[in-house]
Amino acid sequence: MWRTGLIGGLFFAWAGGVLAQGLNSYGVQGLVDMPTALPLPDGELTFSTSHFVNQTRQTLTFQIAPRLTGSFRYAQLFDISPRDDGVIREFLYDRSFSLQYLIAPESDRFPAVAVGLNDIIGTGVYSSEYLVATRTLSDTVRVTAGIGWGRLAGVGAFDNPLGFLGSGFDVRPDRFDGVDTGGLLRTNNWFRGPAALFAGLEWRPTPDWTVVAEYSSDAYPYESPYIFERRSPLNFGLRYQLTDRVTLGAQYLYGSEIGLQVSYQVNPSRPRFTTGLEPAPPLVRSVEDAPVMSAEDAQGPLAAQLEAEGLTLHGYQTGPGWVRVEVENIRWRQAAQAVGRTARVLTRTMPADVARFEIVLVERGLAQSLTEVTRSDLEETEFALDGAWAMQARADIRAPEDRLAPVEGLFPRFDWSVAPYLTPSLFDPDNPLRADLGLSFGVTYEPAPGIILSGLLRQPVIGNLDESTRASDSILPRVRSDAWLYDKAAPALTRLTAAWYFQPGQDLYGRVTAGLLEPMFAGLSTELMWYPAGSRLALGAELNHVVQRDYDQMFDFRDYQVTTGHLSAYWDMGQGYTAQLDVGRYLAGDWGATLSLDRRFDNGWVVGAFATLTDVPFRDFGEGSFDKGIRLVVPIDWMTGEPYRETAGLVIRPILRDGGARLSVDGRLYDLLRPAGGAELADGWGRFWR
Amino acid sequence: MKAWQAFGAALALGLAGCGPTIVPDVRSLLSRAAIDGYGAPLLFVEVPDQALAASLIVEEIRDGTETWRTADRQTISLQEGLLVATRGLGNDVMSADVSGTRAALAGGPRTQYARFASFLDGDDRTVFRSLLCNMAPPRPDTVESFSLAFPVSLHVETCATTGLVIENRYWTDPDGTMRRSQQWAGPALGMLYIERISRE
Repeated sequence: MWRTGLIGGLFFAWAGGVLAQGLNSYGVQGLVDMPTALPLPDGELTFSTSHFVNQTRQTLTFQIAPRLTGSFRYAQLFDISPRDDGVIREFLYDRSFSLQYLIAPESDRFPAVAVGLNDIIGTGVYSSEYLVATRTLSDTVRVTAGIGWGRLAGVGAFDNPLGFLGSGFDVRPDRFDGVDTGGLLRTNNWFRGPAALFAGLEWRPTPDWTVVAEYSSDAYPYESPYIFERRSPLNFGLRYQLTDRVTLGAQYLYGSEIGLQVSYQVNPSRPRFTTGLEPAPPLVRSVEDAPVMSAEDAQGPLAAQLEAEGLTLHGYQTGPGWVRVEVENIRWRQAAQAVGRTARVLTRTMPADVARFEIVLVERGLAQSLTEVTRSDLEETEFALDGAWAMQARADIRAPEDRLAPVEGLFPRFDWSVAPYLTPSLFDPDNPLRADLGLSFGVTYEPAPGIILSGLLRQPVIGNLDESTRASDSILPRVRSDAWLYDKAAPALTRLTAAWYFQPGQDLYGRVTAGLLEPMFAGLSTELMWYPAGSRLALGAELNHVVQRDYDQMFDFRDYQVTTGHLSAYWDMGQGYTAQLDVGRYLAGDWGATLSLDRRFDNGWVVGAFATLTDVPFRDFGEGSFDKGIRLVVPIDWMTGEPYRETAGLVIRPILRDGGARLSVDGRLYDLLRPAGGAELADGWGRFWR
Repeated sequence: MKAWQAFGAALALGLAGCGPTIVPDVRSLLSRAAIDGYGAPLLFVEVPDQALAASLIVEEIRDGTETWRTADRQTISLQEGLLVATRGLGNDVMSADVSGTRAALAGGPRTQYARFASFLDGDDRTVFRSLLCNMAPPRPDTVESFSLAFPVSLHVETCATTGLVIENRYWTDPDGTMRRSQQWAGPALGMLYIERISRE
């Protein structure tokens, strides 16, 4: 649990008078085209679109850590000459990653200094590196100066000052040297070749308006004179803060062109409603007012009152002075809130002699954690200053040793749902944004705890996913690159499975899933996980044998079969950062490993990146060289303020190909156990009394 | 629950609004006759910064903490009229220590006492506001409340913390009951205007 100091602790940053950090046309902190050194607020996520003559750049930028900024950019470029050789490319869709790191924050004497890398793994037209310093002169004026390499050394270039490090720094290797598929880390270019200086100024005359001016060291070698005439190194920009999240910008570039920009900034740490809009919880009832009835008779009212709080009673057992309940959390994103509301309901329903409550969270037949609290502690801390902390200190969180029999009448259970869905498909060169909007119909049948039969049928209503005609050119088994063919299925039976969840031993969890596992594969999936309560480390093993499904996503299959599986380690590094390493065999039969790094906000947001390297040669993999991408998870309740457990997720891959592809099976154990495990319970404990 | 029906529209308006909308004039929908007719204690609460207004009934009293709720089950909890918690307002006061204020109102030390409140930040972590307060000597005043005039004492409390000065006001009946108050409920909620509109 993270706590700020009791005295003078920082609450929300007050709307300050300080000049906010704006975004440049590349969607990173900067001026017009040039970067600045100051980072964005920690955790800030920005989406930016800018346009000027034949060039549109969409950028997603994330302040990964207080000093580290990462961006993914998708540029649509028309009629430029990407090698500056006069050969015009009708269009070029350029995907690139960039990073900026704050070396030194601004101090009384020294400016902020940052180093940046643009297009770190590409052969893209934006490849460059820079060192930049920014100084705040007043609340409304900031100045910036820097030195750039690569593309940022186009104007007024001089010999590389890093030349003393070795003659290799004197000349910048050609972007395309020894590369034919892109997507590799191109460290041999970094800080090589001539360098040049750039500088600029930000001024905020009124709270909503910002004026920027810069001397750009970018000569636009691939764009000028092919698509515009670059007449001057001076650029000017005007920004208008429309709302606290939306900024509009206009620029006058290179003495000849007008540019436009829209930026959207959101900070996962700043929901509109920090404590949500859900109704107040039931109040703790004094033991003196406890209902007079036997513990057996109390089960009925307990189940009813829990149900009203979005909690389903699965197990109930009482003994001398204690009660144990097994509860499934239907509604609450933060497990601690589910535990807190259960505890409150228990004070209202248990007879006076029940002094001790054991609350077990269960899901899909698995016990996720046990929290033990006493009635007197609940009474004492409900209205105490920082009662959540007082309660956390007195609660005992551990793994449940044994399980209760399911309450009568709960099983078999049947449930169904109808919900809208949206599936976007990004970066198809023919149409960079495709999407389907439709209805999904789900059914679930649970004959007994831990045994789940479920199906999901999707019927697209509107959309253009089925219009794609980009046939795969992959020379690997087409385990993912035929996705465009699967997208034509309507309706599509995306999933029809039988799953069994079990706990084979202390801290061990198991899953067996069989059936139509995902849109493209069917078969058998098995998983075993070691995950002690409260542990920051979990280990898993997964073994699957699958056959490729036919494109119509019904009950036909193709010839391709594969045995795939991974050994996985999940590590919660603290401070909200988690890492996952998967080593094993992928769908195309390739062997390798995936590293995923996530920043998980305690409010449910996840912003992460992953990369997979396998024994498929880069040339055989095709464009992009290896699988990599970014993922975003946005909790629905963060957006609406209404209590809701579900999240919206998006995975952005520059390109989806067949190497390094994992089976996508529903209900993997880590995702099931982590949210209600001891560590998460502790991190979210602030919501216990909410 | 029948009590709410008796109030009809006035109560239905509830605490539904958010954002910079105009506060519906819930006050004008209430009358002294309706309030007296209800026959149990009633509070009227306004949150101007959130454009919220509603009447509240007692949900429960335990160990000196009164919890009052709206028709939508949004609650405020008071100790001797002093705000110690809100629930369901979006950016709630999670807990508070108002013992310094309580002592000052009861004739105890009136200078340089502390007042604490805790909130949640956007990551569900507890954050605190600690304030240093002074209470001016009480002065006689009158509270006009739905056709009734109550002779009261007005206590003005000034509290300060880094970058913020707030002023809480308390109007107490001769027996010490809080008749009306204006209390700060954090940077997001702003001031709460709480008025005991029932005679008792």
